[in-house]
Amino acid sequence: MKCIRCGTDSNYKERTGKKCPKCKGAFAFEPRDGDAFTDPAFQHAIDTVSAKGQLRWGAEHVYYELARRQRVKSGCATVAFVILAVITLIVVLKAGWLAVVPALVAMLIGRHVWRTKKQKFVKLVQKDFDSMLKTWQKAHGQPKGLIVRAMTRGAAAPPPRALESDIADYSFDRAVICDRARTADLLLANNFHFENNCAVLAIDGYPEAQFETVRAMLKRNPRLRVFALHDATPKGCRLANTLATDKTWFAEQKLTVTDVGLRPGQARAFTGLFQPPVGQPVAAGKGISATDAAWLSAQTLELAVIRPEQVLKRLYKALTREEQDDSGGGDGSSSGGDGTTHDRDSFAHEASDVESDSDGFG
Amino acid sequence: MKPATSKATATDSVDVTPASRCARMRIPARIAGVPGQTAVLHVEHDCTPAPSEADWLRYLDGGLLGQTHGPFALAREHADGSVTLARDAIGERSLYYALLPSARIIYASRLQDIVQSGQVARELNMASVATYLSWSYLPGRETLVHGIYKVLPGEVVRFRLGSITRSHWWTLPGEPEHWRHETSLRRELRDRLESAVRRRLPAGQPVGATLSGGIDSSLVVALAARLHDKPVITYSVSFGADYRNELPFSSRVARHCGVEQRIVELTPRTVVDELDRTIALLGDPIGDPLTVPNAMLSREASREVGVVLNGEGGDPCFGGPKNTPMVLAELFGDMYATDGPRHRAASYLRAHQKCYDDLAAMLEPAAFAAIAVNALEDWVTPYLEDTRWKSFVGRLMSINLLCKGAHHILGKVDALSGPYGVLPRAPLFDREIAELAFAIPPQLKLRGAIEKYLLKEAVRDLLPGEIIDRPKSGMLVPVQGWFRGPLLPQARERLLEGLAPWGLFRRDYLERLLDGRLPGIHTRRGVKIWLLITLEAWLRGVLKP
Repeated sequence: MKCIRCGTDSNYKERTGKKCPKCKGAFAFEPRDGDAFTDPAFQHAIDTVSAKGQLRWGAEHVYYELARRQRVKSGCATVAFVILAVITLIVVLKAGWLAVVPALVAMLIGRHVWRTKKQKFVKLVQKDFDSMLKTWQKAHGQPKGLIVRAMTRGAAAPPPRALESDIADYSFDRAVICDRARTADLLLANNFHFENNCAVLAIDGYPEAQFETVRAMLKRNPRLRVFALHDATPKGCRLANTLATDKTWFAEQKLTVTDVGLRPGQARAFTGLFQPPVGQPVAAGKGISATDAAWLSAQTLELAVIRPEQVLKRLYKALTREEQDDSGGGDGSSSGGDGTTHDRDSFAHEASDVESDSDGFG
Repeated sequence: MKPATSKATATDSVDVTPASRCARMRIPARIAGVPGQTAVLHVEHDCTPAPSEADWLRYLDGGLLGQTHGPFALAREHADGSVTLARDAIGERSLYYALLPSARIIYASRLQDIVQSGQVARELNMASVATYLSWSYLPGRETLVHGIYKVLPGEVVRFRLGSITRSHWWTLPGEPEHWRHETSLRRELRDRLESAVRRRLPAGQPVGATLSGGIDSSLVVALAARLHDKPVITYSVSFGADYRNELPFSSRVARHCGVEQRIVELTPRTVVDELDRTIALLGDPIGDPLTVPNAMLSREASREVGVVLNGEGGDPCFGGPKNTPMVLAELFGDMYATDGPRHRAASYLRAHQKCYDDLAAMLEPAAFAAIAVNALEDWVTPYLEDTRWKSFVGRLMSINLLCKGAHHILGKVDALSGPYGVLPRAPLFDREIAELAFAIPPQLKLRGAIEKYLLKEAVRDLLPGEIIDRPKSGMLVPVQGWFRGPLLPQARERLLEGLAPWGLFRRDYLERLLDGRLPGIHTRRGVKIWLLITLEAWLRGVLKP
């Protein structure tokens, strides 16, 4: 295993005390002792979710990145199964009884493949991952870019500053409302609000200190553009409907809310990373179709399954696409008939460069 | 128009030069500071009414420069060897100086003239390079040449026996204790707008006006059309059919106001051909892609008119962009303890959307080390904490006026008009309008999410509703498209070859920038390339010609 500090490759015997024989730096994991990942694999997952250190990210993104790798292994098993099946066939034709050994191996692998193909829920246990992350932090320190709220840093947190007297008197062009605080964290920590003139809140009242102030400010703009960003959960899929119809949100302004979140129709590519359903069978209505309700009754899918870079790029594209198509009913979107619009393109394909053809000045 | 010159008391030689269509006299590079020198007064101005030399001396000696109406820069050499330099309130004219050995001083309207005099070493000011890369211009006194400084707008600089003292004859007024009512402010604003435009109209001559189709230039055209008894000719820029342009809006305004419109089409080829010449006219580099379009509009206008009105000043005085991102940054604060106590200053610098966050990656280690730790943030912090403005947005706008207005917009317009034989006039930067603007509550500038609310209401009867209420877009220059295609070879040569001798930039960064391989969500490739090719052209054309 390679040391991520000095790059020295060492074998198990050389790593006495889980330390690199050259730089003496500690390893977090030791696959020979039963750890699921190596240090380089864990670091690679961090590099991937942080876009090589450019973005801030949550622990949940690394969780899904590692879970994705476990899922990838089933793909390798499929290839191995096919190769062994071919070899078995050849051996049976050529040597008769000698085919028993490869046939047994092929059957075992086949059984594994069948199980993983059937696997729709994420395999990596959350508790195991939490433990891994702690081990990692102990060996390598706090990883760069991990989103940690200042309020949870204790003494390291800067003292809160009183709001300027006029700050609540203004409004913004856009708002992204999330179904959970950690999605809001992802946007805020990456300065999405600042770059896109866009307030960011989570529907349950996060960030607490600013929530009511910002929500009141949003109501000062009768032409506010509202976007709902969420998991494929019952709560998430109802988010746009809630925002459009709840009087504490935008019902009185009669604003159209564009749903840019993750929905069951976009979930197929993430089979194997689903989470169990939240409980009771989901009823259709309030932003959820009968098909979606059936899907959500059987499983859910978290937005964190998508890498931060893709979330930010796709969201940016959704914001600008919505503005280019002011009617809200152009290609890639459909009306929900309840004051909401679904942006079907938001998570339908890979988002690339976000640069527009013109750049502002000044 | 001939320069008005006459003798004045206590002054042996006077050169009071009002602006002229044909020959815009600049204050030349002069070395002074020796006791017994001939007393002389140099004034470059565009004041209305034009003061006589006796007036200027009275204003200067009596502390009455506030009685002037219009742009000026002046230098007075006294017989005792002292020198007084002064500049108009908002910064419509420029004035530079440098201290020389043997207790002497050199000054001039143009930094280039001081450099070419050979009296000052051609040494690059490294700290200013970082400032330029972050702001795209140089706010404040420092220039890109070590030892050469700007007289600030509204400032009087006194030189005596080798040392400098500075004072301000004008400062932007702070917020009043009590705000006036919206209706009264709207009426007064309309009166002052009309008055400011009227004062800038050339009697008996046609007047030109740049017209983008935005609210600022449109209202100036509408007022000029209403107030002037000679033709108003507007000039608009187009970047060709392949790129987005604002012509539908500017043409709508021209038709509505019944004025002629000339369209100057700017191709990538023109940009290449004119870039060096344009940038060499700038005393400080300004990394704004509109420099070449501004110069081309001046050239076109000079064929027909001597005075060109512009709509500059609307954003800094009445609430343009950058305010809402800063409000958001302020609201959400430093939730993840990224910037520490300098979060507000860092956000302000980041709001320029240039290279503030790239400095460590783009500069060679030695160049980066030359930037004092936190110098950029510490420079802007006093502005952001200035208690004369109780409101946050009021404070932001004061910085926009004092920094961007004075050191970017007006400096650019001034430098790129005179050489083409036209006089630029900016009614929205009129001192009385700026003063009134800061007596308007910030909530009437940024009303909800509507920018420049009161300005729009003050001229609502003059313009079509779709112009007044159009979504904000800004004047966009297609630099991203240019540097993806026709201008990429030029950019590559200028960045990789032209900048190399200066040892400022890491080649790997420049290559990644040119190839579109910079990481991040918003790389702003086109803007950054433009910023750097401007710097390269300026270094080659001004510092080491």
